[in-house]
Amino acid sequence: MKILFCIFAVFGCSYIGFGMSKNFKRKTRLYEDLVVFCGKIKSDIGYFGYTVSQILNNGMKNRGDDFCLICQKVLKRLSLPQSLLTLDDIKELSFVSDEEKSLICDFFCLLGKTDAKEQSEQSQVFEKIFFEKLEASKEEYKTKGSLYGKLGIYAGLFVALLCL
Amino acid sequence: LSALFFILKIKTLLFDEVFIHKIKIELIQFYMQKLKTIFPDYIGSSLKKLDKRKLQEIRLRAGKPVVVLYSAKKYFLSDDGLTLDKKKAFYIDEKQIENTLMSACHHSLHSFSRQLSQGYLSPFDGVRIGVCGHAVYNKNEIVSFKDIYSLNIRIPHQVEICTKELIEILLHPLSNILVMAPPGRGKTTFLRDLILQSSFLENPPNILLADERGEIAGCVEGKNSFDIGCFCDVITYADKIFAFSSGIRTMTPDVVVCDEICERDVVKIKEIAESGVKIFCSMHGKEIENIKSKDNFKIFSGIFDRYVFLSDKTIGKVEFVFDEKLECIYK
Repeated sequence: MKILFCIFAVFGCSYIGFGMSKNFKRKTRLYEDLVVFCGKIKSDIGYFGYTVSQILNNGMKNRGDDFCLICQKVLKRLSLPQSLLTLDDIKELSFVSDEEKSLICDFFCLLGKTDAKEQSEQSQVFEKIFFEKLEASKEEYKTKGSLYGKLGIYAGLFVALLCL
Repeated sequence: LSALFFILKIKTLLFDEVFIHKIKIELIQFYMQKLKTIFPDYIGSSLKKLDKRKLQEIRLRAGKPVVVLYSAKKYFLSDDGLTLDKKKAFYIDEKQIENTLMSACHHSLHSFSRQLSQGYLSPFDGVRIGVCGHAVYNKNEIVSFKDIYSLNIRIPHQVEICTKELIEILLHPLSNILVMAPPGRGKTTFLRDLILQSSFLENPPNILLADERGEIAGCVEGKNSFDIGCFCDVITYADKIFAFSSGIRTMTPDVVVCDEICERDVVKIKEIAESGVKIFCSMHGKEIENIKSKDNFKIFSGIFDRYVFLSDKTIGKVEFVFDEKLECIYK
């Protein structure tokens, strides 16, 4: 029974640890997707003249789940009278801070609100910001991500040792 | 006298009914379905109660009642459909106009910035929304509008206007035709029907349509919403001058069609007429006497063989046709 509990403790703690480290990975992936999207919309807006819904539908291809979730929320919002994305819409993204969430909201709220030239300039500014965020989150993932994983295993082992 | 008035009244009513029956209802329903998505819900449900064939325009003005042009008469839109009572009318504010505009351009102003800079929007091909507001300049050029105060949504119709007699006058042989009428009297609808009727000729001409505002053919993803026959090639949203110079070289048309020509197009139109390609076009104008005195008309006088005047009272009705010597040949 004790052995079973120890195994459960090790697996449980490791799972929590890796779960927490996964959040850093999700954050990195989200910023990667945002940077790629910013680069892509320049041509979508300028050359092809696609509408916001076309841009979002195209942008979701081969992108991460979190990015697709935001795009779907924006698309859903487009059919409503109040079409602006709010912080509440992306509350599922628990791994990003409120400040980062409002930055993402600002970016999507500005889509389609001005002419092609302005949109292109805006996306360049956001691309730069998202790139900085990406670098920071990569660094965070390297340090904290692996740390949480290891901490989970160690915590599990510690609990197991205490039980034994 | 009263008997004469009665006969005239009956004639007008009959004409109106005949005209209405010639309108293709499926097409208007298709457009109304699309337009419903851009309006606030209460306007959409009120429009449902109207006879779509008679609906011509919907005008939204900030802080003012919603006005519809219905069978050439202006009414306010209300819960019951139409009303002449201002108190019962729906009022619309600036925010709702902005929302309507954003929905009309699919929340993507960048995709419509060229159209907006010219004061209109074509959200679905064939439908034109006129825009009024605060013009935004960039280097002495209007790039867009902000603080939109008014929208004018025009509902397109496909109507058989050309009678056998008119076809005989205008298309046997093919002539250079200038259609004239005040705004909103059916010039575009007439041109559309003229294109269709040309395709039924024994030897139908190849037609190049320069559809600058996407109104005549209503091309959606390569397909025309309106019936313009099987012999028509369409250049959509391109400048008339570009469409003429590139289209004539590449598509070798027998007839070129364009809507709403103005003074700057005269030189190009003359070139086309002299090259042997026939031209059907329209222009704003009311009476032959007024138009004769216009400077640009003097230049046109050597170009066109037929001048078609539409009635300013009944929409889509041909009132007069003049020949190249400006003699009336149809009344």
